[in-house]
Amino acid sequence: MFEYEFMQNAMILILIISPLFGLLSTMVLNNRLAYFSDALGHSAYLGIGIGLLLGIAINNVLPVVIFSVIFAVLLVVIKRRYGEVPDTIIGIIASISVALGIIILTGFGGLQKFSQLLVGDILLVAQNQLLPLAILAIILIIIFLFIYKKLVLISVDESLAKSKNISPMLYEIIFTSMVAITVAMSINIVGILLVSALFILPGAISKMISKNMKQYIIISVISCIVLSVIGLIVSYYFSIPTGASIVVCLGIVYIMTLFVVSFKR
Amino acid sequence: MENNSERKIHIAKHNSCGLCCVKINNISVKIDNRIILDDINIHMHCGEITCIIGPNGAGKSTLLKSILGMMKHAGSISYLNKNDDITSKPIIGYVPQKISLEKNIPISVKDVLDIAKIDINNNVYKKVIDILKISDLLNKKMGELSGGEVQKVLIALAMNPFPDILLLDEPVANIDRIGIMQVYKIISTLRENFDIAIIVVSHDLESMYNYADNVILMNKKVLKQGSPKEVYDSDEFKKIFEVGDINV
Repeated sequence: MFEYEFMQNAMILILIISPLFGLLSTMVLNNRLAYFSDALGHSAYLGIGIGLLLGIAINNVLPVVIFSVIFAVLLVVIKRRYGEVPDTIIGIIASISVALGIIILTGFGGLQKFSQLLVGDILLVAQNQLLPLAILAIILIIIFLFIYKKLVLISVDESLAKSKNISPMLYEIIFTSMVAITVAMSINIVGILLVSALFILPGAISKMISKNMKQYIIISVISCIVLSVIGLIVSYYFSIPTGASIVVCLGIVYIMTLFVVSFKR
Repeated sequence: MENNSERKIHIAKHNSCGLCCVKINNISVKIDNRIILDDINIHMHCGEITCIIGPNGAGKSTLLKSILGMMKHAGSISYLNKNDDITSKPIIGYVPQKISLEKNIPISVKDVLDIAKIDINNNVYKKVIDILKISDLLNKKMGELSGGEVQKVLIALAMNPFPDILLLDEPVANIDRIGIMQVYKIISTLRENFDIAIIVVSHDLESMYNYADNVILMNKKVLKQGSPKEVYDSDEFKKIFEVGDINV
C-alpha cells in the first residue's frame, strides 16, 4: 500500500500529528477542555471559508491555523472576563462560526465539494506541507514539555497556581492555541467532525491504567501513535475515511480497557 | 534556589524566634463603589497562628486575595525579618480549600510535589514531610486521598519557596472530625518548628478557640482582635454569631 504517494504522505502526517494528540489529550482531560476542543474543530469551517475567500487552496492549513488560534484566544479572554458561563459562550461562538463557514463555502460551488472536510480525505494531504507541519509539531511538543507541569498545577487549583506566580489565563491561552493549531494541522486527514475525539480518547485510555503523570503521558502518546497507524492501514484495506477508522480503533481499545479495568476491580 | 538554601540555615538556627513581624496596614477594597474591606490593620509575629473569623460576606476571601496580591487594594503589607530588614514582599504560601482536580486523573502526590519543586531529600522538606506525615501517600493518586490527606499535601505545596506567611483558606471545610484535629495539630507543629506566621480563615470557631493565638473578628472591618478568649467573650462576637444564629 505504501507504493502510493498519497499513502506515504498520509502515514507521515499521521506520525506527525498522533504524538501531538496523545500529549495534548492528557491536559485536555485534566483541564476539562473536551467540549472546547470540539468547538474548535467546528469553528475551523469558518477558517477554511475565509481562506477560500482570500483565494487560498482548500487544503492549505494556514488560514485554519490563524483563525483557530484567534478563536481560541478570544474564547479564553471572554471566558476569563465574564466568568463561569463558558459552555454557553463556546456554543454560541462555535455555531456562528459554522453557520458563517457554511454560507461562505456554499458560495463557492455547493457544499458537496467541501463535505470531504467534514470527514477528512487523505488525498487532500499535500506533500509540500509535510515539512512545515513536522517543524510545527516539534515546536508544539517542546512548548508542551515546558508548560505541562504548570497546567497540572492550574488544574489542581487556580489560586494556588496564581500564588506561585503562574497566570492561569496566559497558560490557558497558550494551551488552547496549541489545541487549535493541532486541529488545523489534522483537519485534512481526520475531518472536522471527529477531530475532538482524538483529544479525548488517547488520554481517556491512558487515564484508566496509569498510576502517575509520567505513565499517563507516555501511555497516551504511544496508544495514540499505534492506534492511528493501525487506523490508517485499516482505512486503506476497507476503503473507509481514515479519521473514522482511527477513532473506531481508539474507541475499541477504550472499551476493551474499560472492560478489563472494571473486571479487575 | 540559592536564595532558599541561605534561608534554610536560618530556619535551622531559629525555631520560631518570634521576632519577624508581618504588618497588614490599612487594607481597603472597593468594588463598584461598594466597600468590601474597610481599613484592615493586622499585626502578627512568626510562630503565631492568627485566625480570621466573620460571618459570610464579611470579606474574608477578599482579604486573603488582597494579601496574596490577586486583588487590587489600598494599603500595604510589610514584612520585618529578624534582622529588621523591611520588605514589602513577604513570601506567602497559600493553601487552598480543596482541589479542583478530577477524581480519576492519574496524578500522584509525588507528581505534584515534584511540580512544586519540593525535594524530599532536602533536610528542611524532609522535616516538613515528616510533620505532615505524607511519606506513605507519595505514590497515591491525588484523587484517591481523603479530605484531610489532600489538605496535608496542599500544605506541603505551599512550603516552597519557604514562606514567611502561611495562608490557609478554610482548611477543614471538607474534612471529618478526626481529620480536623490532625490538620490543626500539624499547623501547630509547623508553627513550633519554623519561622512562619500562620493565618487561618475558618468557620470552625470551636477548634480555633483551642489552636489560635490571636483571633480577628471581622465584618468588612476589624470588629475585635485579641486572644481567643477576649474575642469570644466580646459583645461584638455575641452580636454577630449568637444573634445571627437566632435569626437563622
